[in-house]
Amino acid sequence: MTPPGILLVALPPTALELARQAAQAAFPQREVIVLPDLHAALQVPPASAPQLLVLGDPGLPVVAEASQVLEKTGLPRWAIVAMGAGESDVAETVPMAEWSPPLLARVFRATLLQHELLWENLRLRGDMKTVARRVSHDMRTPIGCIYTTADMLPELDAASLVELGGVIKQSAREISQIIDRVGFVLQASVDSALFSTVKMGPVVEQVLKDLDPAIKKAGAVVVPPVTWPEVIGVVSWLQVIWRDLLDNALQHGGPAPRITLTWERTADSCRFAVTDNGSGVSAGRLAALFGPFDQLHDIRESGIGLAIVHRLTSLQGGSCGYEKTPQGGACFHFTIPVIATGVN
Amino acid sequence: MNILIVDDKPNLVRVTAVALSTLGCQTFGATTSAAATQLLATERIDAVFLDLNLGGEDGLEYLSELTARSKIPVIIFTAHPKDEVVGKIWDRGAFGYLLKPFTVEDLRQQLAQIKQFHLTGKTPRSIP
Repeated sequence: MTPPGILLVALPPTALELARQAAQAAFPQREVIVLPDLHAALQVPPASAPQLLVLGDPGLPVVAEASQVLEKTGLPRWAIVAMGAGESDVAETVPMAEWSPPLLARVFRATLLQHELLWENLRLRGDMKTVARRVSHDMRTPIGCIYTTADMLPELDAASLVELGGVIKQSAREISQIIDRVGFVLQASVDSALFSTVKMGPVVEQVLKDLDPAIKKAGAVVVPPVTWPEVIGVVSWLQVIWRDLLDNALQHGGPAPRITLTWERTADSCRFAVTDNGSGVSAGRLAALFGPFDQLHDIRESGIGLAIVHRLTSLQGGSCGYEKTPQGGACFHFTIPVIATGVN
Repeated sequence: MNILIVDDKPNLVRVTAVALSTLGCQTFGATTSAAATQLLATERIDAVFLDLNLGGEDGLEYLSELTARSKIPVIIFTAHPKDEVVGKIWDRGAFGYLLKPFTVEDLRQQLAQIKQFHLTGKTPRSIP
């Protein structure tokens, strides 16, 4: 996946040429995409980082229309620059008399940076809300098991002590896992990660080794492909993605699941899939699958595991999704770039 | 008293069952609404302790279903903050609620109110 392009939409010839030069100067690694209208801009897939949209006169209806296109987060999809006379509440404006590639390049950079900071700020606020509301909620049940057990210790007979000793151990493990996973994803979200070429084979091999007891307990059969590709990513993040998706298949893949791991190469990324022969995800739960981590506080039905997969694939410039197999099982898939993206 | 505990977390069902048994109750556990409905059909249940999060199911909907179907007191236990749930559960006819984590004493107080309800027909909110 390449970095998000710079979209030049419905610009008159003079403005278009200057905007093109400015965009290339401001963002040499990004593709400059010339589009005839907003409809065409809407067809460009949303990127994992903010995009810049350059339009004509700020008084044109298209500027207001573009500012109304929102992401799921509620933030405008694009950072918008309008080239023309007049002022705008929804776009940075550059009066025609001041048009020059260096000035425009500065405006483009500043506008996109401002939008990126808003994006980042909103995500961080969402992460904090998720920790404050969702994570604390999820920890209350195992904490409650320990707390209530401790409260009745003096009244317990030997058999109950043994039984609830097991509950305490499991609950403590559950709390520890929540802390580890949430800590990991928050750390990954704010750290500058070192992307490198990663051989996917050893990554999956290690995860399967770690999960071996759970695989045996579930009576599952895991079928990996004969060969694996190389991708550009972070080993520890990729391990978490695989672990979560395999865990998911072990838990929801039905009795003695057969779990198939596959991959295919697309233009600039690899698409990996974990497929099981269970009964798939019910229609009622589809909408909440892969709820972004920063919105989990409002999506109670969505699990933390898939939200972590969503965040970690996104941080690596990829995406994730779900589809039902023709046989009715579940297929969870994700993409990871095979060329450097400059994302994160 | 016979108490049905409904929570998608088996550990919480076990702990609550042991705690209620130390208070002299007989307990039944269910981790889904379907299993709970089955137990309600086959056992004499005096009260239901119901979690609001039942995995993929909505505990609030099940609460509405239970209170529409019978007068068995339903006590909600929840990990949500009190002000987020109280209005919603009263509207749906809950008898009471317990915030997680709870103590044996919290359970004892709920049982006292359930006993009073069975003796007098008064719910905690109708008691001045």
